Amino acid sequence: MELESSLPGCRSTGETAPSLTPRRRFRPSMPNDPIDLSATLSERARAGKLRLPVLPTVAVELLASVNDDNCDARSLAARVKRDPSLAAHVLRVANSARFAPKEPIVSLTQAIGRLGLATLREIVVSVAIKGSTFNVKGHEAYVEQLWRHALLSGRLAQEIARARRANVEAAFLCGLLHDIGRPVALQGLVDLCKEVGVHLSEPVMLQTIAGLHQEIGAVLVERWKLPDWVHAAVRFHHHPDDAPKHHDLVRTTALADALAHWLDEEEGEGLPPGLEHAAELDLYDDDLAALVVCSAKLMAEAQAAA
Amino acid sequence: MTERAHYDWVVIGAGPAGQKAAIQGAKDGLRVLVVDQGRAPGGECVNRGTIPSKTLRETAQHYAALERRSAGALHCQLSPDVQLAGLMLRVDEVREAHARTLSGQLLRNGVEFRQSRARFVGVRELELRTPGGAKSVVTGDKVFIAVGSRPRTPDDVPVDHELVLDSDSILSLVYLPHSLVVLGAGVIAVEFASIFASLGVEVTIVDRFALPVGFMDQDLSRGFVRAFEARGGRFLGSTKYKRVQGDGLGQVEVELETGEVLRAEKVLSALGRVANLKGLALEATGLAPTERGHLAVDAHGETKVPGIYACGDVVGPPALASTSMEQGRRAARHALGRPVPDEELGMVPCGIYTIPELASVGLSEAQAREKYGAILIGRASFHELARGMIQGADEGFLKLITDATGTRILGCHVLGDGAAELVHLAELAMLGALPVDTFVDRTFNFPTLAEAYRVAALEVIAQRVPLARAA
Repeated sequence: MELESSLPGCRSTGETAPSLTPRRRFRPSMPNDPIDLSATLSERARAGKLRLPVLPTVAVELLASVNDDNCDARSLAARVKRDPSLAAHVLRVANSARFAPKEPIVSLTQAIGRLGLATLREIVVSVAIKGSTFNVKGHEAYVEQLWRHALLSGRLAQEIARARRANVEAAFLCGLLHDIGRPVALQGLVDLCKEVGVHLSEPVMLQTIAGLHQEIGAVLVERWKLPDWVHAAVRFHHHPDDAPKHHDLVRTTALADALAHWLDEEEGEGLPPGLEHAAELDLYDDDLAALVVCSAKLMAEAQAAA
Repeated sequence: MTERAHYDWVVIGAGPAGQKAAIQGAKDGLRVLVVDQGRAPGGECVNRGTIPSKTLRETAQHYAALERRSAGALHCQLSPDVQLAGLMLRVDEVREAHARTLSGQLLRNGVEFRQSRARFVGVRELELRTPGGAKSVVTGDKVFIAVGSRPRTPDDVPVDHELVLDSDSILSLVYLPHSLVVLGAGVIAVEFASIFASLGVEVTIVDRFALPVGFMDQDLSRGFVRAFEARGGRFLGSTKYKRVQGDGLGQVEVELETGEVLRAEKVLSALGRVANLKGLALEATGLAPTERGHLAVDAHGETKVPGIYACGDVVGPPALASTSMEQGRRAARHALGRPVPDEELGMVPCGIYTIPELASVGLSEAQAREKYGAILIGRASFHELARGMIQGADEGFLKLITDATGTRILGCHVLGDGAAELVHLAELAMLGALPVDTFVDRTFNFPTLAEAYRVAALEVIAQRVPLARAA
């Protein structure tokens, strides 16, 4: 994975690591031991001691109000209007390539009318999650890349679900949130490194995040009380066969994840990845080819929304 | 070089029809290959149709029965944020167990299964393509086309699987919608409409015909409308939609030709199904679909090309899993040169899993009058039966149609809990040519709904006397 940002290099500060938990202490002789840091983060996550982002109220309300008659366009508009940055973001998305307005959309009411309630909810939840979670000081470019990947995965998951004649509502959320453990793990590592006084090299940090993100992400979505299918997608998207249930949704997420990496990092060159998931989803090479055809549009949308 | 293989039979499609055909052949010692585009046998029946929808129906039925059977003592209300998956808790287990059973059956019988898409490259020669794109060619002495069907999507209904769904995507909804408009009133439409209405969703059915499920006896169709409306549903018969469009605010508008505009959170498009013939390259065989997009077959399921059979949804109505299985079995027996049962396939019973159930066997009242002129009809309401009273089955009834002498049973139609099971008694009586009197002379368990047969038979017998006197 190529990073746009440069993570701090690996060097020891020589400081003695403070006590982290009553049972665990970093050994000064192994300040850069990623396994140790990883185990500590993992242990903290399991014990509920990891600092987890709080889902903003507006997102909680929206996630809980999918079936709420009172959450109509007017009340949503009122909530959006209270948050100027959110309102600006909605206008930006309304004018993006995805919706391609003939005339520029200049008012929120006009934007809501064009986007529809479902899309508006999607945007608001996305913005709220971005603000709370995809926000690690000093690592902006990396987190930005993670966010773009999340958005692209969400849209790809939607299109995969549509191609399978399956409902698209759940697929977007699973795609959007599947890697939510990465920024949280990054924040946790940054905090931990500060605590013990070490710096990890970029590759080591990425490797540690990769090893932890599913577990930490699962803890987070559980804390946020999101549905069990989101939990399954977050926890098992790298090993869909291990998911106890919701296999199709987890595989949809896994395929979206693989395609999003391929599109963003390989620029869609060579054979599309994730064929093992495609077969399990009863998708054929021509179905994937159709997805790839619309991927340029999805990439543009993800970039516009990022 | 492309891999080539020859089989005695190649069966395209592993749904109910294909699977039964394949097993018949394998039991006779033939080398049989089943090709399906899905990863496991079962077809739409297991993965999107019968099994998942019946699992949801089971929950809805219990939910609806709880209030009814408690005589209002219990009032049930689903939590607004209840997830649809939560109402189909066992669906994955049921689906996987059923798929395992089907795979096991194929394996035990030595049937080879491949996940591939098939297209004809010769009369009985097929090119197979795996999801990854690997190609192979297979030939068969006999080929069975059992590719099933998929929901029809008319050009003027924007199915996006988000606001406007079809019968495949509706079961993957996350939450129960508050309101639902169902376009169409065929089997799938009325099943889903009654399930969602029983779960408290505001459901409106829009259909161009005056009554739903028009191929059933009209008393059943009317009985369904009564029961559906009693659960809060609305049936708009003889009504056409003019426009279906998202309103941009999270709802869908359905404009009717009457000028009325219905607004609902979701729309279910259930306007029939189309055979999965696209991509099969039938032209290589000399076959072509009928005007309605099906394959024409003779009484044994053989197409006009010798050695190519078709069975299941691909040959058209009634497109029920039960009928498809029988079509597959019979086509296979004919291909094997084995005797095929004498009775017409039209005698197979029809069960519609609405809430309450509808079931029929034999002729409807209209068909019987057209064919025989004078007929006798006996009816029994479930609320007259002890078991019916216990169950609170007020809306249920059984209708027995006989010839003019009141002896020979021509048809039987049942509405109510257990209708699909109950109708089998009439089927066996008809196949055994048992007179109506059998239902009076024999002993039935008490209390059971089967007693309805005795009540209906007595009503038929009572009509014999005035007829005899008049003669």
